[in-house]
Amino acid sequence: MSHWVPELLSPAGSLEKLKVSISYGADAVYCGGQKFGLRSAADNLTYQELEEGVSFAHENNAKVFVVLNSFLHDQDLDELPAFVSFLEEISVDAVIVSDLGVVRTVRNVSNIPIHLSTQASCLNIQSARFWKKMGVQRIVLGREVSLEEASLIKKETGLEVELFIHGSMCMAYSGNCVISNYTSGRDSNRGGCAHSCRFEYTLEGKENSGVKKELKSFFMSSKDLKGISVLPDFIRYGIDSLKIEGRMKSHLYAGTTSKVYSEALSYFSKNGHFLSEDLYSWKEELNKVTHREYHEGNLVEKAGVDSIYSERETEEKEFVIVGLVLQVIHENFMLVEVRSSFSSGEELEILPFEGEPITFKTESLENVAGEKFEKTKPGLLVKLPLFEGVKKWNIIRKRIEQ
Amino acid sequence: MIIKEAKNTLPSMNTYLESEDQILPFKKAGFKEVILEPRELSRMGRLKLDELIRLARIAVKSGLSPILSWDILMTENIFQKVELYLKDVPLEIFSAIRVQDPGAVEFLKSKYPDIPIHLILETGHHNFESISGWIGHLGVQLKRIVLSLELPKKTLQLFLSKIPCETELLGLGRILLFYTPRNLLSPSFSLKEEFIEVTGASSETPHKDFPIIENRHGTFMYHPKGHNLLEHASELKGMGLNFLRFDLRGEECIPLLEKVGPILRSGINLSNVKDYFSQKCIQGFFKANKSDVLFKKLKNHRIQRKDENYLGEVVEVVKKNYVAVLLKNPKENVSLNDELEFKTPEGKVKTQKAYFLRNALLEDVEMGTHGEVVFVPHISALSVRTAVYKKS
Repeated sequence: MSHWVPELLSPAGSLEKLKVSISYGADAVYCGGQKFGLRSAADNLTYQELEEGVSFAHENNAKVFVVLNSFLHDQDLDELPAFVSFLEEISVDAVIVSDLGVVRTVRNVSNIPIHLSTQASCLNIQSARFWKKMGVQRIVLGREVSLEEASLIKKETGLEVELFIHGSMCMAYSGNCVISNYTSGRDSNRGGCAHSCRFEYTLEGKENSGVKKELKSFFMSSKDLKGISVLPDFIRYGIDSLKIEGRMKSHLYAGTTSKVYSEALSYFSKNGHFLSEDLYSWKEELNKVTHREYHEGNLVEKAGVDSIYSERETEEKEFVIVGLVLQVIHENFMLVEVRSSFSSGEELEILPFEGEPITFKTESLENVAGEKFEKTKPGLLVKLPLFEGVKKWNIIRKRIEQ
Repeated sequence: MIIKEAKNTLPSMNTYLESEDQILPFKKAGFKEVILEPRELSRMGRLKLDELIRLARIAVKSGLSPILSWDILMTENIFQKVELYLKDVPLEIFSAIRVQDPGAVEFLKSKYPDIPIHLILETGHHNFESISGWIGHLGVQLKRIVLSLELPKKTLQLFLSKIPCETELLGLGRILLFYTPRNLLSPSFSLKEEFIEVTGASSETPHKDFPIIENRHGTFMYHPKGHNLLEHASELKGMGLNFLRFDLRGEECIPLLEKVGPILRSGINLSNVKDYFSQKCIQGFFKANKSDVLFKKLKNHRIQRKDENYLGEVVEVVKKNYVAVLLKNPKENVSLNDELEFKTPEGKVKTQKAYFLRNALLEDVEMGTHGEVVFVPHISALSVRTAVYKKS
């Protein structure tokens, strides 16, 4: 007997990352086209890449949701209908929208299901009812909403609900921050967020307020969300989809987070509980990707003082991606694109799509022309010995010496 | 001296009422409407329930139209508390309720369909289709729309010509940049009072002295400069704007009104009012909104794939030997002797004939297909991430 588990929704900042996320277990991915999304700096996908991405996803029983979650200006809307028609033609599974004008445009020109983006900050039952009337089928609830509240919203509205389970957090109510717009000339609600909330600020009490103090602080920066410990509650409360943040993040991040949460959900599906010896290793795996200090956000209780990441931005990571398997040459070798340097004799790990990492030491390093290297560097293609179970798009990583 | 009241050439004025002693100066200055902020419902609210009711009644007696501010965003738990609170508020005293959260709007629509709504659309709503959605949804209950500060003049003109209800824009006041429900100051600044106000500056931005306030609803950051459209007031009126809002909450309000009251009432030299405002002012995006033009610089467009004739990407260059290309287009194969075009990340364009074509075992092949890495003759000046096209 299998037990109900939510959908796992992973980020796909590029076509490659879409394939990586799905290969590592995501049930669905979200990605952007070249316009209309909130990540202007991400690679995003061209028309052909979207088409290929949808085919790849559907062949692997996964779904593709395309983000159209900018707050668009009139002139931006002109090109939207043609793009939406294209998305419908290639059978995209849903679009993620935050702007009422975009919701109406999508409804006018297509039958694509609409998911309300977290950018719309839908936080309560009445708000969800409004969006339901506007034609939305699923709500990506604001990050301020607890699991219990999300469950109530689902129950009272009959809408699907989606909550973030992992990744970076906006400190502001999403869609309610325009610092970048005014200080960097970049519209944060059209994809140009300059991450001003991660800056260090000198704060000074106003003389007439009785607060006389000056201090330097990263007071607006939020810790990252890590919800694996409350995964049982996500299931208990019937949250339909668990979203991993991070379209701008690396292949290693997309692969690792997809693999960990997917394995945990699979385990529950088979066993109906999380009393697994793997729980510790799942949590550990999530520490191996780049992250700020973790926190559980508002999932269980209102985020308090301990949710502020009061440190300068640093990349806390135990592992770094050193390569990506581009091709498996049957019974011969795997062709690996080097992403970070590694040396001959160094211990590496292959992250297979399922199961434990495969640890190995590189005996010798050479390219297809037979040139030998003591140390690789990005921009090389190297042949590495083939291990059982290794597949195209597998990630190879190494531990960083601390 | 008798000061003639400005008539019909300027939008009506509204502002926030915080205490009884402000009523007369506001009245004298020509304000028609006051916004009252209860601490339970309003972001900057300080009024307790009894104060709210008393002040609203006095405002009515004084001929000022009182508007109830309910502009906080609410998770479900807070919403339920607000619902209880609203049962104690005699809503009939107020001319309208001012809301932003779509939940608050929907609640008023279903529970209080006779109460006029002033809808705050200051966040987003930069296309008329979205505004039109609200107009259609609320019908006659929608008394007024508060428009976004990010709308440039040209767009404002268009919207104002189409919106069938009243409209409002911030004329003079603080620009809210950031709103979070989290308490970001109290961990460092303890104060017994309910509002903590500090200023912030960062070496990573040239702007200084961001006013930052924490209260029971969270933390709010404002722009160091105020927003001022007063010199365009008559132009805005001509475009169809009904109300200009004055946000004087950060000011010494009564002394300020003593100075600017006559100017406001006469409507002459209105732009001089800013000289008495504590913040320097900007006009924001009124002249133009170009906050998307820098996006082009956020990534290297030279390595962005163009779909037509695209083959793939260079993944290795071995001098005098080969260039390895990962074929990434399922609709385009590469064949021996094809003419290839390479577009480097630096912007150089090179061409080369695939006079040999090899697979990962360096065996000669006639054709390479999607997903494979193929090896073609070396050509100088290429680097990884170079985009490869079949020359048409």
